[in-house]
Amino acid sequence: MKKCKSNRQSFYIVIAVILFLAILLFDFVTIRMEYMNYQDKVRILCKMISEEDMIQSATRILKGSKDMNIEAGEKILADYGYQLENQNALYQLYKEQCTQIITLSIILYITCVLIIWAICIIEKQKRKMEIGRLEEVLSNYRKEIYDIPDISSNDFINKDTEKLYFNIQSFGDYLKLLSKRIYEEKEETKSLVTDISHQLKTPVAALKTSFEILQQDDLNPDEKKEFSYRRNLQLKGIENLLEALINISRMETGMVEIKMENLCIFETILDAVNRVHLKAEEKRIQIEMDADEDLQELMLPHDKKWLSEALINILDNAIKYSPTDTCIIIRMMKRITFLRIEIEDQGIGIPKCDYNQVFKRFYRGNSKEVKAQTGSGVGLYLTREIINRHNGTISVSSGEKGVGSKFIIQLPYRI
Amino acid sequence: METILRTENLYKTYGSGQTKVNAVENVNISIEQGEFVAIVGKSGSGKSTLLHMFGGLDTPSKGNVYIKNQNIFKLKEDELAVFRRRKIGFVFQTFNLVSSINVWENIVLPIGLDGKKVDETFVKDIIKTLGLEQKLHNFPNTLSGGQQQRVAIARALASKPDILLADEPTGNLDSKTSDEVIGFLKMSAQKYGQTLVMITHDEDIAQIADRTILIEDGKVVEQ
Repeated sequence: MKKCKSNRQSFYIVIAVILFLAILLFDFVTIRMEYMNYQDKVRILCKMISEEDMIQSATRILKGSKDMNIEAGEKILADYGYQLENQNALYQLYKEQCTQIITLSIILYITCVLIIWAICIIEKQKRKMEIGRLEEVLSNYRKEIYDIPDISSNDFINKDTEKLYFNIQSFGDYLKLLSKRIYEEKEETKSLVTDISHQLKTPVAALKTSFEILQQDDLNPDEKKEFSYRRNLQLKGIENLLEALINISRMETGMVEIKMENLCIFETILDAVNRVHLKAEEKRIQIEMDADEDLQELMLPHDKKWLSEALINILDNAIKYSPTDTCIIIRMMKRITFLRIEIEDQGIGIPKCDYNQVFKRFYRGNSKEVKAQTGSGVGLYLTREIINRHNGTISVSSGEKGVGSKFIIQLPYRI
Repeated sequence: METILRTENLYKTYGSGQTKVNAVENVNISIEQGEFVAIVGKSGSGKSTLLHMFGGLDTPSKGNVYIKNQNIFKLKEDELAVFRRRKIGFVFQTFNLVSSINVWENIVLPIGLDGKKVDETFVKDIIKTLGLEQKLHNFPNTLSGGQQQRVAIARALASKPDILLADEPTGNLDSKTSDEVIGFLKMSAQKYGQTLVMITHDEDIAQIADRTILIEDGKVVEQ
């Protein structure tokens, strides 16, 4: 900054000096011209008095004759006491003109210097103002005010400052995005804590009640059995929730390693089906597999343990939210890059506006059917993470006849 | 995470005075490297204009687009063309294949334009994954819509762009094929650390994205 300032100052000093030299040169030239003029006049005078025939000498002068014999004239003039560099009216005139020229040029020079000085001061002040604006913007940033006025390109006289302003502006936009993201993350963490505490609160409260009741002495064996059962149920619920949370945190921190092995995908699906089979049977829900024979032997890179976990989460939901005596169909379709797996149920379905939400952590639907069931809202989130790790995709839409939900999973044949 | 694409008070205005229309209005978004972002909105909401400005195919009336901290509209026309060819891959709804050359030539065309050597194993890998091996010597107009879209995707991916901009890449495809095309784009983005920005009006497809940006009347209403 200091260097810039001194640069600017020396620039003005150079201009002033150049101006001074120019005026000096101009003065010198004009004074010299005046002097020559004066000499010419004296010469003409000398010529005129040295010759008798005035008209002849006048015409000779006018014709531009160079050979002027002025010595005789000079002598006559000297005799009469008029010397060239001396007091005579013409010399006085010449001197007066010189004084005028010098005075005028001094006035001109002073005016110019004053103007330059004024410009210098105005610019200095403007620059100060511009810096002030930048400072204001920066102090606004500190106060987390990121909206700064747009400027047109004429607002700044100093192009460097303008560039700086634009840079600061774009930095501010970046800060704005950053602070927004931090805010969102903070909110997410908040809601995460709320969610977890909420999820834990109900079973823990129920557990506490069960224990309190069990501590009473006047319980009959039936009651004792009943509350022991409830206690175990709540404990199991907490255990499941914790397990889901641990899975999520391991998945998110990258501690879970998906080990891809080329295995028969049909068997992995069957495995998952077998693990939910009991629950399905309780509600008399049939699980059908619809796959061509060659697909039943298809080998596909996947992690058997985690993928079946992902499928179990979907099937669990399908069973949970389907009425009794319905059917769940698992279709396998061979596409070009992906194996397409569709899991369709005849349950309560998912409203279209929730399609995107169901895969979010701790999201649970708002319908009373969903609220009637226990669940932590982490299953589908985990499923999506697992499928993602397989370079696959998962999405949901409504069932083919408009009833129930259809989950579509795509898994690549090659990774 | 590093921000790869960022816009600053982006505006695109058509007409003036009473007929003035803001196709894109004050859009400020940032997209991280490796992110899969879906831009959703009704037709005419300005999403295509926005995507074209991301790729420097259209100039904004106001505001800036930064790709890897480079203000792309500060580049000269020919610099921008090179930048685009090296860093950005485009997939359009209308495929935009060159009909007089075969599938293979279409795919490697942008690499050739850049005077680079074709990484044949890489390109063949893409082709195999997209199931185009049998079609390499066919001309585009002998292919189905889905196949043509695969060619367009292969072409966009062949030059290993940092960012893939896709404008309704599944607009002309049936739902199963479009699921697959999206899956493929996502897989490629994951595999090669690319950033994928995709326009769609189909909210079912948007589910697959990491993040959805909803555009209404040129404005971002939800991120």
